[in-house]
Amino acid sequence: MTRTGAPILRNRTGKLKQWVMNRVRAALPGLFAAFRRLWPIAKIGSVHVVTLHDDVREVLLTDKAFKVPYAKKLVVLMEGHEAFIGMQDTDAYRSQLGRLESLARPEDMDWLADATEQRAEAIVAASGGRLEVVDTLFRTVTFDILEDYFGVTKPEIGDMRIWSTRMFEYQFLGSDESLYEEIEWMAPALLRHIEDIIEKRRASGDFSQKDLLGRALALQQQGEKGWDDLFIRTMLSALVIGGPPQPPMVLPQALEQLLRRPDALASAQKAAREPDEALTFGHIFEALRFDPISPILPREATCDCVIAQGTKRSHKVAKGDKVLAAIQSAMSDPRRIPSPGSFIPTRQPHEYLHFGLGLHECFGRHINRAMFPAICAPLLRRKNLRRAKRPAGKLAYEGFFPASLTVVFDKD
Amino acid sequence: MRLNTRSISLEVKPSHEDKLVRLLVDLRGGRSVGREGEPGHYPDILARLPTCHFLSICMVESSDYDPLLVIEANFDGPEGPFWAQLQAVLGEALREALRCCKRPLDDTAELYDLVTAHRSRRDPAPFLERHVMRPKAFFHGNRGLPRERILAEKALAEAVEQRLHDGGGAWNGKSSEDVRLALRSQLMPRFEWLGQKPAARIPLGESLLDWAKLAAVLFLVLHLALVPGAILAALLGNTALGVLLALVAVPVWLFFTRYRRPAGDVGTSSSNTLLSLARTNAFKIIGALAVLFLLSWPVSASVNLVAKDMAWPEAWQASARQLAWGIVWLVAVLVPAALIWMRYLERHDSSQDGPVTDPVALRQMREMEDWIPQNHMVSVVSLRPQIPRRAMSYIGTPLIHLALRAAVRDGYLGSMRTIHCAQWAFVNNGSRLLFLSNYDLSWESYFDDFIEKAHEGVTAVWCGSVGFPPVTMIIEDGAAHGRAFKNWARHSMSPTRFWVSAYPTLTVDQIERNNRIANGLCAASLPPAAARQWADDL
Amino acid sequence: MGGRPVSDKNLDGSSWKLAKSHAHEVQGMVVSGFSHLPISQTLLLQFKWPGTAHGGKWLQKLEKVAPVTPADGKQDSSVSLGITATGLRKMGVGEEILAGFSQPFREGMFQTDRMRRLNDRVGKDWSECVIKGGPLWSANTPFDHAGDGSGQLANLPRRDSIEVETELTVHAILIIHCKEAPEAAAWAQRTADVLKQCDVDVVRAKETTLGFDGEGMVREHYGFVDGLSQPIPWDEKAVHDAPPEPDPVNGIALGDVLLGHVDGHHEVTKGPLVERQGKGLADPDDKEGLDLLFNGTYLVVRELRQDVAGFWKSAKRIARSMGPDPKTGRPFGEDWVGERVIGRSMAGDVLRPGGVLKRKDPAVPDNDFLYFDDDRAGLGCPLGSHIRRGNPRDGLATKPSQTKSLLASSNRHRIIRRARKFGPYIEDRMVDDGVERGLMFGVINADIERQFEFVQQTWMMSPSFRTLFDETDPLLGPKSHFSMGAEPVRRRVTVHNHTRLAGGDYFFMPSLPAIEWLSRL
Ligand code: HEM
Repeated sequence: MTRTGAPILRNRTGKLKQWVMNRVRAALPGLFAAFRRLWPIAKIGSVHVVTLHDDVREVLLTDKAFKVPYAKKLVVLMEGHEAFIGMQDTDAYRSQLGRLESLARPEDMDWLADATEQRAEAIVAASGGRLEVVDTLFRTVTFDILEDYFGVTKPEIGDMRIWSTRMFEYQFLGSDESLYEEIEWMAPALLRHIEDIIEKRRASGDFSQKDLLGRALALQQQGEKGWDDLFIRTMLSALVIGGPPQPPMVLPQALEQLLRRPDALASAQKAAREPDEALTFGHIFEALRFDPISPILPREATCDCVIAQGTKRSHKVAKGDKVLAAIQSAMSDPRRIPSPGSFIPTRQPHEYLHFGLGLHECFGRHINRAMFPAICAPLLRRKNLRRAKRPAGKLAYEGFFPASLTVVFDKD
Repeated sequence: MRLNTRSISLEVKPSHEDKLVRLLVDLRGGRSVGREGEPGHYPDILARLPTCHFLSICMVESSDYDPLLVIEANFDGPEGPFWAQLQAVLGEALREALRCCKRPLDDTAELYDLVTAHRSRRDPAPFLERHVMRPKAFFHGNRGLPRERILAEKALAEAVEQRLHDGGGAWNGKSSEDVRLALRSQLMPRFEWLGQKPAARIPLGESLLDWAKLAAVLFLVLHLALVPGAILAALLGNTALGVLLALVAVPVWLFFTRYRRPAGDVGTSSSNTLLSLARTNAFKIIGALAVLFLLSWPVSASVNLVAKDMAWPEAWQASARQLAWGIVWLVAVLVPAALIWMRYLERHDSSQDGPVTDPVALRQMREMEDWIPQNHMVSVVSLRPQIPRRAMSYIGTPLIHLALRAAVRDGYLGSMRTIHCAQWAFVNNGSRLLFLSNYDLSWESYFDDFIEKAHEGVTAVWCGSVGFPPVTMIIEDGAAHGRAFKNWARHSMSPTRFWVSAYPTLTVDQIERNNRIANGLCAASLPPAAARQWADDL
Repeated sequence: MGGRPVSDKNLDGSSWKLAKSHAHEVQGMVVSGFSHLPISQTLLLQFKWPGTAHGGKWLQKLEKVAPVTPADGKQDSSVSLGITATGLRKMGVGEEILAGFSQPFREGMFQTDRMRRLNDRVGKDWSECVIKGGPLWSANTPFDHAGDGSGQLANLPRRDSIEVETELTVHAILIIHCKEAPEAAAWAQRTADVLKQCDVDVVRAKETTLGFDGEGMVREHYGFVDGLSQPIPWDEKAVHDAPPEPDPVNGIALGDVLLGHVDGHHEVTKGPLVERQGKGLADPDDKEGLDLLFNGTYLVVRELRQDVAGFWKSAKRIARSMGPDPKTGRPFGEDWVGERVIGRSMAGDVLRPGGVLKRKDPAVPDNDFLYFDDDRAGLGCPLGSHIRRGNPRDGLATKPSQTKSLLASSNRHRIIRRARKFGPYIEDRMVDDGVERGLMFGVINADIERQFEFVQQTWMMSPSFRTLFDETDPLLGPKSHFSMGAEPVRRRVTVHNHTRLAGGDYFFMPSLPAIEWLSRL
């Protein structure tokens, strides 16, 4: 159930196809293990799958030779304007990122966490002991809080959650005909909506420092360079598309992994009750290692180059080839990850590649770091937290997106 | 989880010596936040190297080789993750240090170039890993205790201490077991693991493997040593062989008795140790020879069967005779002859009586020492060139290692127990012996321990090194020459530049004590005598 | 004195004597504690002449008023002499000759790394075991920069201060032993006057005494019997009537207290060989040459102030805090605590579980005891008590098979203690009378690093002695814990520091021929 009643995820994947996708997803760890051992850098046509931890790091860190392939679609979404997410390491990129980074402040993270937790607590408390988490908890809280933080209010007509989720899907996952049709009107709609907000906000004279938009407008007002409307609009739209759709994807997956591991769930609950915020996060992050946001990060070779040069597995890549950096595999590579099969919530930061690495490391990593434990903690604190009876108690997917998972717990 | 002891040694470009020193000094200066000067306090490193016991990075200087960059690591569990962690904490400093090193001439050169290139982002860990050395011998004072357990047991011992303190006189009149049970139930909530049976420090499988390895190597060496006698036995009849033996053995033994004593004023009170060791262990030696005979029997029987085309009963008989002669020749001729050769070398060795320690280096060593109860040392010495000497070093060192591994379970070398982690490795293409040690208390007391409590072993390991004080019969004298040995050792050392200890306040003895306290508390009940003994440690 | 003090058997070292050929060369103080000369004057001298030449003259003068006495028999008075490294330098001993002396002697007691090891000063602060403001006197040896031209040393991140200077500079120590106080005082005055004529000032003088109690025991200011335990040097040739073997418990090599003889590490220390008639080094083959160190030794002096009332008040506080003795039901007394701190009873007997060690000779406490068999866990004599730290004997062994080697190894670190008191006994040990008193603690040893410094650093001040933790010597150390063995569990109390260093340094005690050589400089 959504607030507007309209389903947020597209229901286009056939039963059989979904079944196959789910099987593949389940088989990935084994597949990757085999690849790491037998064919660490696999070439399939013009696609290279990189599975070893060292090589994945190398691909991600060598952004010059392996660029992100997002620019083409992004231009569609931004009506022809560039956004940092798809750019190479240029001055323009650094300038965009620098400006954006100057908006978000470390001290925001505290109140973000507080607000998130309050919102989540309210939802969990109101649920009466049975809760569908994907939409009711994770998506709702994420969007509510981030919209506030960005300063991008909900549109009067249409649903921001659908817009951004759909555009996220187009940008990073699929590109079927019907999706493109939707994008064609959603992208301008979102941009218009944001322009509208900027206009109204400026007119109101409210340059409060609470949200990113307010801060940007204040800078614009002070005559700082680079803070024109177009830039502000493009950035906010990139944030809205790139950010809020993701927590409702990964958090259900994390919860699913915890539910599969009673010991881990118990210790996560203990951490949440403590409350040990860092350790709670540690549990979520570790759970995700078994089922991350994406098994691979795609790259494209900008020149003829070599991966793992100087080693026995030295591997040539031709210009224009696709390179898939299998972060899921890298995070389970026993050559670098101690006891990769064990659930260890206190791992070292460098063992995780959930947020990518190097030039395009996730912009929202600090925000996520603050929000993940805050969203989950109220639920984790509940006594006797467990799955609902199947099928509701099993994480269901729509294509790549987690669609629903219902849990039950004792009412105090 | 096994404690791994590893080191890396890379040659440094002489032009970059100062730069490297500065780099390592900055690494230390910028991090240590412990007691003034305390080299062992590096919270960030310790948190991010969660399996590391001791880590050191030094530059070894000497006048006849270019300097070496030596990285020493002692850590629990698999290697790959450890080097990745090290890279995550010190990556850029490591890259910079590598830039100070010579480009290797082997097949790691390409990787070297990639890692050290201007603005390179290539991970240094894979390059380092290609140069990791397994020590030829290593020693662990608290064998079988992973770092996590050492720290957990330390916390427990402190909590026990606190409880006892808070308890005041409340324990009077109670039995040790009462005290133990009370402490156990009070501490159980915080230390849940007290409810479990403590893991065996050295699992049975590991012990068996240690002994098996030692036995296998000994068997191989001794079996080969039987060959000369066995071949003679195959060629000659018993009478001829007896006459020959008498003709050879008598002069050899006469020579040996003349030669075996220390020459000149080399002797210390330890003379004759080797022979008296042989004498006191005569039964063990005879037993070992008997086992050797039994194990070698089928081997040589099969050789006879195949080579000489004998039938089985005949082959058994013939090989028994050959082996018996092999053993007789080994004991009566080969061993004393080998010792004579050794003695010949020993009598002609040069020992450096006045080694010069660079005063600046010495000041720097002293400056780093004695801030905490532990200290670190790195030493590199050149090996003497003679073939039997080298053979002794290359084969003897691993053999000593296997023997120590099998026989020493409680951390005692002789009667000394002050070594946390020590290792020996060959560097510069096998021409020099690297020694790294993390030990308790002062350098002086460490070496006094060597001299007073373990000089035979120390002499055996180092007697093949250039300049070592005069040695008699491999294990006698040598390190028993106290001051000469100390001077020689100091002069082979370089200042420790960067050094981290995961438990800087604990000595080996204290770690063992904490372990006894913890193990005692894990037990659901103890008999009164055991409980009293346990309470002695509190 | 009909009833000669019994404890002077050890004090006098009459259990060992040097062979004739050596006795007349060695200073008497090496072999004897002079129990028949209980009063002494300790004079600290500073050489005031300009430059560093012709520095032997004062010794010629000294020869006339207070000649240094050899170890060849009992005399009615005795004089001992020690010279610091700065003193030798000032007298004109060349650097090439000084290089032949041991490093700790050349660097002095207040070299920065040494201070850290001895726990006198760590980092930039004096430890609590030193009087406020730092020690008053030392040899003021300049810091050795090791001739560092590379700048490597200068670039180190430095966390301590390397230049420490005391108010008084001491170049030599002169100890005059007499029978009576007036005689000693007059003689000291005479000597000072004579020395003054050749630019030698007495910068600090203390009357120091042995002080026997009614039973012929030497008691130090806290009231404990002192001087009971001394090592017994042994050498096949150089010791007169040497028994076939060294004493099984207290035997050490003569070379550990006298240079030029075989020492505990089987070595003979060779000193710089100088020309008998000249001032420089001799040809190494010169049969007439003089080995400057031969039959000399090193003397460590530490002037330790004792706050007697502080000690006993704190002992009383501790005793009270422990509640009643569960065995007797009566409260513990402060004596009981003090006895654990030392490890011997007030009468001088070593503590054993349930009491003290039975004497073999009813007149004198035993000193040929060991720890492992009878008191391994320290239920009698606490593991960290002063005498167990000062000389662990075989008590560091953890298994029977180790006792022999551990006893042998701990005997390689023995020192001969030649301590005398300064200041009067306190009237009431519970009342602070504001009078300065303490122990002029002297140690005779041949290898300062292996003996005195080892004892101080590795045994006394080590917070990790044995399996003890966070505690140091309860008598000498800073405020820390102190564990006393008991059933079912040890008692652990907090002890405070009442013994403080007021000055000290390392002295060379030359042989008589070496003194003669020095006097010709
Ligand atoms: C004011 C300071 C001191 C006092 C009051 C003092 C007192 C005592 C007493 C009462 C004894 C027992 C008597 C005996 O066994 O002879 C003793 C023994 C001893 N002390 Fe001290 N002492 C002081 C300083 C030192 C210092 C600074 C050291 C060395 C660093 C030291 C080392 C020893 C040794 C080695 C023993 C002999 C233990 C044995 O052989 O069993 N003392 N002391």
